[in-house]
Amino acid sequence: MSLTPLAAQADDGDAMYRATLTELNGSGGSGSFMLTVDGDDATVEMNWNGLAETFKDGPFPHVQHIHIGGQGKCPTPSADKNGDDVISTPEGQASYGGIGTTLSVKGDTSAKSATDITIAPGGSSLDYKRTFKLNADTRSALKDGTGVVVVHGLDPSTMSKKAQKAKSPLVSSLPLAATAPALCGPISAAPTGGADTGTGSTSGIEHAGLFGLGGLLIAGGVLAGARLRKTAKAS
Amino acid sequence: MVEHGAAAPSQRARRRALSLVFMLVGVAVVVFAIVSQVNAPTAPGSAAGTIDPPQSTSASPSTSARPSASATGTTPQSSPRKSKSQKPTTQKPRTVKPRTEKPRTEKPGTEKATSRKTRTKSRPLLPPSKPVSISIPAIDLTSEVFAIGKAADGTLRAPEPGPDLNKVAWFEDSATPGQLGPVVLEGHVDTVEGRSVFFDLGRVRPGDEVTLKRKDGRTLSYTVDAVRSYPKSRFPTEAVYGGDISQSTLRLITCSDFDRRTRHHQGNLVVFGHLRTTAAGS
Ligand SMILES: [Cu+2]
Repeated sequence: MSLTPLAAQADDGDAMYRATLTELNGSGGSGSFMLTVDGDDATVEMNWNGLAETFKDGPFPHVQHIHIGGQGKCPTPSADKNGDDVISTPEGQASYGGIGTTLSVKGDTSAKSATDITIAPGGSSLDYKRTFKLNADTRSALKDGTGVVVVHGLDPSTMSKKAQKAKSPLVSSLPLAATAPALCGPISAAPTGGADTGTGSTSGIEHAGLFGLGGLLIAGGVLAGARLRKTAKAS
Repeated sequence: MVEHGAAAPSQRARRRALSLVFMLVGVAVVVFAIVSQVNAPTAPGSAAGTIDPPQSTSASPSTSARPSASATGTTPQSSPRKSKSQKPTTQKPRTVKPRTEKPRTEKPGTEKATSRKTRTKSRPLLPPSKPVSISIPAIDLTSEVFAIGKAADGTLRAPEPGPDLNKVAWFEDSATPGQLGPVVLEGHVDTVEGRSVFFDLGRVRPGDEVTLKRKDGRTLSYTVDAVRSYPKSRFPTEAVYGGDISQSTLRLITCSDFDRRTRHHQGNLVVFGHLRTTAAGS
């Protein structure tokens, strides 16, 4: 990525990214995402809640990824091409792109583990913190502003009959519900530096011009008075 | 200004009057300038409150608290985590009009979100809705809120001259009130026209209330946790734009530490808070 640690520092030493996760496909969930870059590593903190809780008597697996290479946006309902009232993961791809990083709870974080539900978080809510090596593609997507967090897994009961029976377009052994996106949030870099919210007009002396004008007027008056006295004496 | 040449006696009276008028007007102008001086904005006490919102009302810091959030670790002036029983402020901050600090009363029920697990499950979810107005009763502040973004260089834009100059701005990439993560708002402390909307922000104290009204009509009440000033060169980006994202938090930013030599503000004042209640109302 970078030739020297110093270059990495100068490059994105204190880069920090954030996303607010909002529901897709009426999942009813919401959440928050934060990623800080430290050299080659990234630390991701994530919190979400309100998603499907159980699946076949176990915790509902929610595979989650940083998607890259799309428009850096979340899909709108018009992305539902087949009219089943569900935006499937492929249908959303024009907006958020393909998978750059898998936000697994342990092990591999590459795209290869994208649908490995054994290392995906499970249940209706998540309190997540993990540090891992950030791959170059994801890193540059974050810089370009084209990274999008997507959390998958819908409660089948909220889907149309047709969609409930459908198979996942990603993993044929899973139902559509398991892999359809439930939360989405475009990732953006936190503003750099502080805020430029002052001019200092109230610190120190205000109306310096008025003081100057007043001073000039007084001086003028005094001078004129002095001349008067002089001429009075002379005459 | 002063006429030259010898003065005839008839002119002398006129000149005397003129010089008197000059002096009087001059004095009047100076007096006006003195009277209309504005006090410099208040600087916060160096250790007002703790930045991290309360995690738990029960005194068991070891159970659910995760390893001290990155927020505290990176902030130059942050104080170590204090237990709730400690008085948040020990130093009396310099204030223009000193306000007596409200005691931090723990109302049972308002902070029942104790362990993170139960909180995340019990916290009512709000769909996103932008903030439209803010009020901070403790400093008699009410303002409209408008959305603002980043400049091309990646910095946060500031309200520009025009109708929005003295309004509070909401950073459009931050959370909306009631969503998880920080709601980031900024306002000028002063502008070329004089004091601005966040002039008195340094007088806000831990425990004060900040209410945000959303576009959907809901009003949310936040409690101030800490008031801090940072040199701009060491602005705590992670604490301000991140921090504890497991709940809805609040950040209010303005300028501080005016340097007369450089004629620029050297620092930023940041108010940290967290969501207290969600009123369905209005
Ligand atoms: Cu995905």
